[in-house]
Amino acid sequence: MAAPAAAPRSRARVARRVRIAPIGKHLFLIVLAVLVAFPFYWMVTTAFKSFFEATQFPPTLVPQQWHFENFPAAWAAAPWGRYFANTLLIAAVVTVGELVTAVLAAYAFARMRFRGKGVIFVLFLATLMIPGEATLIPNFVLMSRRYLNLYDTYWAQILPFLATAFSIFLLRQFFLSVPNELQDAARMDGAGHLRFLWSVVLPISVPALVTVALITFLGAYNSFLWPLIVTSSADVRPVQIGMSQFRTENGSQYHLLMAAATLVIAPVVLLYLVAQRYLIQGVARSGIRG
Amino acid sequence: MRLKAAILMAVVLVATACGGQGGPTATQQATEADIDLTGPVAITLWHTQTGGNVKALQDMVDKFNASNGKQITVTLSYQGTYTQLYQKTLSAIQAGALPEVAVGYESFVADYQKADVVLNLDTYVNSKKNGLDKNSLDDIYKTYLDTVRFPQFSNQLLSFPFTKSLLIQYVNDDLLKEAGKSTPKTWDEFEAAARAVAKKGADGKPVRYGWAAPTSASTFNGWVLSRGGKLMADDNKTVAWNGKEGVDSLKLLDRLIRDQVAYVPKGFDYQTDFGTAKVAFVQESSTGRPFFVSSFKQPINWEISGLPQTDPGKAKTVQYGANIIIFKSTPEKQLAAWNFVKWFNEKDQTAEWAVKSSYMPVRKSAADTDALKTSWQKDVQGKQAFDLSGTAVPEPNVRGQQDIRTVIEDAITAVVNQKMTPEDAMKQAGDKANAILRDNQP
Repeated sequence: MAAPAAAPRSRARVARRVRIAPIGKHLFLIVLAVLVAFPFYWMVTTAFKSFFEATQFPPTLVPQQWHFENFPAAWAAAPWGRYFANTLLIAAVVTVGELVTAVLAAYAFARMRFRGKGVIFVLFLATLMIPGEATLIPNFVLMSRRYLNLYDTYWAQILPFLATAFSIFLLRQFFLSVPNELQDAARMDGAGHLRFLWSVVLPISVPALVTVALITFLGAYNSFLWPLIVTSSADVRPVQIGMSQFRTENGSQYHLLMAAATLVIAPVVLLYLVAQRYLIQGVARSGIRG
Repeated sequence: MRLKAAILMAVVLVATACGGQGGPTATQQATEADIDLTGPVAITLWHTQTGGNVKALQDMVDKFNASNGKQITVTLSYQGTYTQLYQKTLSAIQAGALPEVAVGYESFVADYQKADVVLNLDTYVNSKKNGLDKNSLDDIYKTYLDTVRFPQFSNQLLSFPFTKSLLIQYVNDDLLKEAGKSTPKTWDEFEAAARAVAKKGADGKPVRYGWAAPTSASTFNGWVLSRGGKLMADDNKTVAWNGKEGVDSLKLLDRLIRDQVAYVPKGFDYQTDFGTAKVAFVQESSTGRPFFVSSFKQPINWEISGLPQTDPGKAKTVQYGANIIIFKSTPEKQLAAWNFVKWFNEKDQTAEWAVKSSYMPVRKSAADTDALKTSWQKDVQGKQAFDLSGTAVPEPNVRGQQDIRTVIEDAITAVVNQKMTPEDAMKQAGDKANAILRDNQP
């Protein structure tokens, strides 16, 4: 008699557990979301505070007084219009250029057979281990009058980033997952490598391509040290250099800095919101983990 | 190749003019500093100024470009922080892409000169045609000129004052009055006043400190000097800050931190803490005044005083700030750069720069200008800082000093975190610093 009574109790426990599990998962995700969103909230609210309120301790969560004038003041501190135009141009060219080189190289590593492929690929990957700082001086020398004569130009900010091992690696992983049957079928229809890449591989690789494009665009958009080193004039400099106008050796104008950061980050957040579905798919399907 | 040829020519000309000696020469021959500028000359100045300062600097450069009468055009180029500027300049030396002029600390100049790229300004200062007369030189604070003369490089004048300031003490007079104390003149009085001001809450946690002590190498150097110590041995081959004065400085810091009378602030927190009466004493650069004022929630009574001293009759502090460096290029560009540097340091310009930027004017006579007199009516503490200019002593300008600064800061951090005793920290830091100096002998 005891057994039939225990079975419904057990089923109820399981059902309860099933109901509780998503709640716990959601709570966990909400906490993570708050942790991720808080810096953005902090940046935006600080952008509306006075200098005093922005630096006082304990900090305030909501501005006591809303200082909308911080935004015009931040905008007036640097030639932002020019900086934005420069940044968009540089980031767009770098993104397109890197996509072209990465697609071709990744395809070769994933779908073609040639001698030394493994060694060359490892050499490519090895470049990921070299810290950017180590290449700063050699690259600067390369851009100088003595060699390429590209100092203080857009090209100096574009050329070194037109091919990266990370993008090639990411796309190669994605291209490897394309079934061989597709390639065989394309070959039977008379398609060569470029036709197969263009007509078959690329259309099914949109998430990976968007991922590479987003990562590249963000990298170019956030670039600071290299443009600072390799340029001198505001005519070719990007937005990140404008941000440094609010820091001095004796203090920082945090409220204006945050107002400028809000303006600078807005296009990137917009881009991320539009393309986030592809970003997640691309990262998930290429086997890259954060 | 053209740059190399220009550098070679400059070296030969300087060597010929000075007979291989640094410093003023008794008999003057015509040198490259005496040439005439006949056509337009464009020069670029790499700097680190931001915010209101860069606007002030641009205004002054515009004024120079419009009024110099020699077709000299100066273009400003922002290069990030001093560290970023330093890195870029080192890269530019490798690439042969130096600007004509850049700002930099003494330790930067010492490193750049390893590549023999810095122009010796003695030739220009002593030029009959374009130089400075004795009265003019005497008008510039000696300490600002001493710091740009480099004993390791034949005592040459390898830069000129630009953004000068000094280590001073910000004092909250309201808190001192409440504690029944006056502005301390000696370190013993300072310790007593800091302890009297510090307060703990009901839970035993500090709610008010006596002293916010940023762990910078320059501040430490100021402590050593104020206790009558020296920073370097006379031959510049070993450091001297690791003696009794250095140990006593760290002992005081250690003692007051353990007793929760002092703390090490993060970033620029000390400005807001000072403005909200959470701390009575901050020892920092005189240039930070506008940021301190911005952090006042309501008006407070405050002043700028010198550092506490062992012997107040022989007060000393550290001179802060960067200088302007002219790199070797063509004789025309070098002279154009010198013309700008000379103009920028004239009485009216140094006063204007001081008013707009909060840096110290480099000339004594600047105090007589209407610009500064008017400014000091509002910026009373600016005048208090200016009056301390004569007590400022340069920091070492030897090669390796940039790395030695890190060694000092590591030692202070070790004491503050109670990882080492002040004696051990000084011993270890002194040994490391001397090894750096040994490795960097020219």
